Amino acid sequence: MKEKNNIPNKTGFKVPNTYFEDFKVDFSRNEDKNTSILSSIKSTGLKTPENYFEDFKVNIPLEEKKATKVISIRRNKVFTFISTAAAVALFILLIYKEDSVIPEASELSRLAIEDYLEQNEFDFENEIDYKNNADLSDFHSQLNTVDNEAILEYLSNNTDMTSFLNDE
Amino acid sequence: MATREEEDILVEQLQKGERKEEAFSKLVALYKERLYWHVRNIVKNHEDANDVLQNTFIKIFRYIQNFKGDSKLYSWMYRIATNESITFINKKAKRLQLSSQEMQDYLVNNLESDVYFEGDKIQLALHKALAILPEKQRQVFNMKYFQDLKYKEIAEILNVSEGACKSNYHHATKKIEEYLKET
Repeated sequence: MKEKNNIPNKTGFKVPNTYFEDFKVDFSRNEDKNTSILSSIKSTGLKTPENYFEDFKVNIPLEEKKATKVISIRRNKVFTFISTAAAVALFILLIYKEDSVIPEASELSRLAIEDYLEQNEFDFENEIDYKNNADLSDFHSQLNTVDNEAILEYLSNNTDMTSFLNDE
Repeated sequence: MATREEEDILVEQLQKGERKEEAFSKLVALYKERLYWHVRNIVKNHEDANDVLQNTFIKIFRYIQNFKGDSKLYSWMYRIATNESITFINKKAKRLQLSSQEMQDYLVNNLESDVYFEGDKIQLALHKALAILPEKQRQVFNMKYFQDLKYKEIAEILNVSEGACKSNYHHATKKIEEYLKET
C-alpha cells in the first residue's frame, strides 16, 4: 500500500489492519452530529380541543355581512376634524360679532327712539306744553261748571269749614 | 392547499358578492387548519389562537375587495394571520407590562400548565429555544420546520427575499441546536 501510493512511512504512525480496504465515506456522520436532537422533534406538542376543526365556524358580525362598503376610518377622522374646526370657528365668530356689532337691548331701544324722534322732527317741548295746556283747559272748564250758589250751599252745610274761614 | 384556479374562482365569487357566504365557507374549510397552526405557533395558547383565527377570517371577509391578486391568496391570508398574531401578542404584552422577550418567556412558561400542550421535555425545550430567537428567525423556522412551507412561499408571506429566509432558517437551526445541546 505504501509503495503503491508513494507515501513514505517515516512518521512512525500506524493504521489498523485493512483500514484502507474497509474505508467508506459516512455521509450521515456530520448530519447526525448537528441535527440529531432537532430532527427527532417532529411536532410542537400543541393540541386542540376535540372536534375543534369540525365545529369551527367564523362568526362574521351581521353588520359586516350587510355592509359591503368599507368606510375609511381615516377619512371619517378628517371629516370629524374639519366639521369640529368649522363649528368652533363659527362659534368664535358669533361671539365676536355679538360683542362688537350688536348693541345691548337698552342701548338699542334708546338709540332707536332718538333716531325716530330726529327723523320725524318731533318737537318734544311743544308737544308737552300742548298736552299740559290741554289738560289745564279741561281742568278749568270742569271747575267753571261749579257755580257760586253750590259753593255757598256747601259751606253753609259744613260749619267746620265756616269757622275755618272765619279764623282766617 | 387550493390550486390557483380554485383560488381565482373563490376570489371572484367573494369580490362580486355572488354566493359570497358559500364561497367564504369553502375558503374557511380550506384554510382554517393551516392558518390555525400558523397562529398557534405564534401565540401558543389555544384560546388566544381561536380569537386570532376568528379575527383573521373576519378581516379576510372584510378586505377581500382589496385583494388585487398580485400575490397568491394563501400568502395574503397568511400575512393577515401573521399580522393579527403579532398585534395580539404586542397588545397582551402591553396590558401585562412586559417587554417583548419577557412576553415570549411568559408564553412558554404557561405551556407547562396548558391542558392543550402534551409535549415532552424536549418539545418544551424546543419552545424555549424558539422564544429566545429574533422574531423573523422564529417565524421562518415555524413555517419551514413545522408547516413545511417552501422558501418561496415563506418569502412571499413575510415579504422578504428567499435568500433572507434561507439565512434566517440556517441561523435559527444553529441556535436551536446549541440551546438543545446545552439543556
